[in-house]
Amino acid sequence: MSYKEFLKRVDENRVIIPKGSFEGMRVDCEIFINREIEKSLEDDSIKQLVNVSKLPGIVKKSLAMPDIHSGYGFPIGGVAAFDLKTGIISPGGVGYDINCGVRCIITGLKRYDLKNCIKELLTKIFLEVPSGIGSVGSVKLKKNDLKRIVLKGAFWAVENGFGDEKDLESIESNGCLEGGEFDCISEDAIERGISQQGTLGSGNHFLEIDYVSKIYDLDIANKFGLFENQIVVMLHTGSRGFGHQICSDYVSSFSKDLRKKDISLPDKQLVYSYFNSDSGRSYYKAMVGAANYAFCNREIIGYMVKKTILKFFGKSESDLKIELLYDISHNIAKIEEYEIDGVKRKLIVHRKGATRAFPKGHPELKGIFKETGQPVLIPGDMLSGGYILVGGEKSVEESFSSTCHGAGRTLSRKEAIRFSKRTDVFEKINESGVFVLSQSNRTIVEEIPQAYKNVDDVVKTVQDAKLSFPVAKLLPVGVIKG
Amino acid sequence: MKYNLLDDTGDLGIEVKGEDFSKLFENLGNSVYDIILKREDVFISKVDGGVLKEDSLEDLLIKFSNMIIYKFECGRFVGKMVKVDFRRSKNFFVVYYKIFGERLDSSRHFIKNVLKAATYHNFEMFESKKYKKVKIYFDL
Repeated sequence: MSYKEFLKRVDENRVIIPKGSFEGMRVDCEIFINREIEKSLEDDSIKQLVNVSKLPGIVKKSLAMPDIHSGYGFPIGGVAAFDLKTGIISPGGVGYDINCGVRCIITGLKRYDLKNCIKELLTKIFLEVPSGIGSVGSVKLKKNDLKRIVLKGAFWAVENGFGDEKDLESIESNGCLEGGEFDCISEDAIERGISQQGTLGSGNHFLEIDYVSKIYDLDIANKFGLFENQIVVMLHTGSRGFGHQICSDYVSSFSKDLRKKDISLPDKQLVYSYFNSDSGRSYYKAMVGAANYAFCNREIIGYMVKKTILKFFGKSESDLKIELLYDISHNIAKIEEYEIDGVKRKLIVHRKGATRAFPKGHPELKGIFKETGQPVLIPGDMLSGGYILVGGEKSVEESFSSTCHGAGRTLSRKEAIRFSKRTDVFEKINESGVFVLSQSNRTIVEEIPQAYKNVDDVVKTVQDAKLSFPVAKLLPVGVIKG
Repeated sequence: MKYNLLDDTGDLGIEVKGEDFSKLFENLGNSVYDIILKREDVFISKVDGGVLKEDSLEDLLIKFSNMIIYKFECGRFVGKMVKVDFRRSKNFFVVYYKIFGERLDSSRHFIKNVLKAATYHNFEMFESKKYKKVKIYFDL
């Protein structure tokens, strides 16, 4: 049986699977996807979306963004909100890399400023920011430091001289979620987390030097401080082994709890606990701790990058106008309030491979972002670059204030390696003019552009659905792959 | 020792066989090291051992895989050979394991993949009189 057969197209940007199509569905499933991307939609990811629609306490819809692909339990690109009193929380709805996210640092440098020095600059950053397999951070932590990071997030970096206070207002949730609790985190997680602060990691994590190739909304671009040919830095990383261990620990304990209660699930990675239970609250507090760890990690790396660029050019911060544009999370569960059928309800919104996209005027936004909407950072593949978007007016009512998070994979790592054997990947990279560095050639091969969907199609869909709007297009000049 | 690599959109899976559960766990351990690095480069200068206990075989296989990932990431310990004694009691499944290997040396050890977690995603276990088989997917 193909799940695709059950898809019904509602408009040019949306398909649904109505409640009732499969036994146990509590709500409709809805995927924001245009006809072009629908061709590459995997049956497995639709099945996962349907499985999510069966979970207790789900509100309105089981949603997915156009970059949907198969994940563990929930699909990547999935968004699901559960009632705080009667609903569940699921580690599978957050992902292993808790608060994996993207940071964008803007500079006053222009494309031609790096014309003859991109290799040297990128190499300096590569040497400064630990990346790759088993990377260990230059920031040495004691257990008490980790405890404070769990509580304070990016603020820890600031108070310890690894970050700037003014950055905090340009980080989602100001770089700190309330409610992290160290006692809910295992010794194994602490052990994994203690050595990895300030590291990029491996896999799909990266650091890119891009230039702004196109401005779509001049007014908002001006307010964000963006201009054509401007150099910006995008980095993508999360909570490293700390978040992975927390996820593993709670998947295992929730699995045991459900077995004891004789509750069977269509997918073991969909394990959950009721939010309003001891185990549910415990996971939430641990997850918040990992989210704060990730906010701190990106702040420290951002600070290292900034210092390296300033030193490289021998200029001051004000000379080079280096500042944080925004820092977003795309693997997280957050408590947010929504009006459902005329009643305000507190929900736990799971975004797994999806980005919060508050529109202008949203009460949680401050400063310039209240006027413009929240910046949304969308990486593409290593040659095609990404986008800076802004939250759209329909996001609150249509998608629990969410939009896409990237291009989304279409080839498995093994398929990418197979594909690379048929083409000279490194020659193609050389021809593109993008300077790529990695601790491992294998990572580059696994992350080839052909392994990803076309990010332009993904962005067009969320734009047409008014979930978010493009402000600027970025193209890479140098890429560090983790 | 044979194992098969399984395709997954984002990550990586393995299928491992063994004639009994002790052998299955041993082969699983050796396969995990094989995926992480070139095992032929590893010398034996240290033995690391322990006991793991769970009330389900599935949980024990996942826990065993995660133990190897943890030792690699935190202890920088890499294995050349894994030995396992599997026992089952009325309520529990237990493995006594010994890993023969050494501390990671980045100048000698070629790391192929970093596994971040063993998952329950599409987990399968098959048991017959002739052999036992397991499929486990790893988050990379």
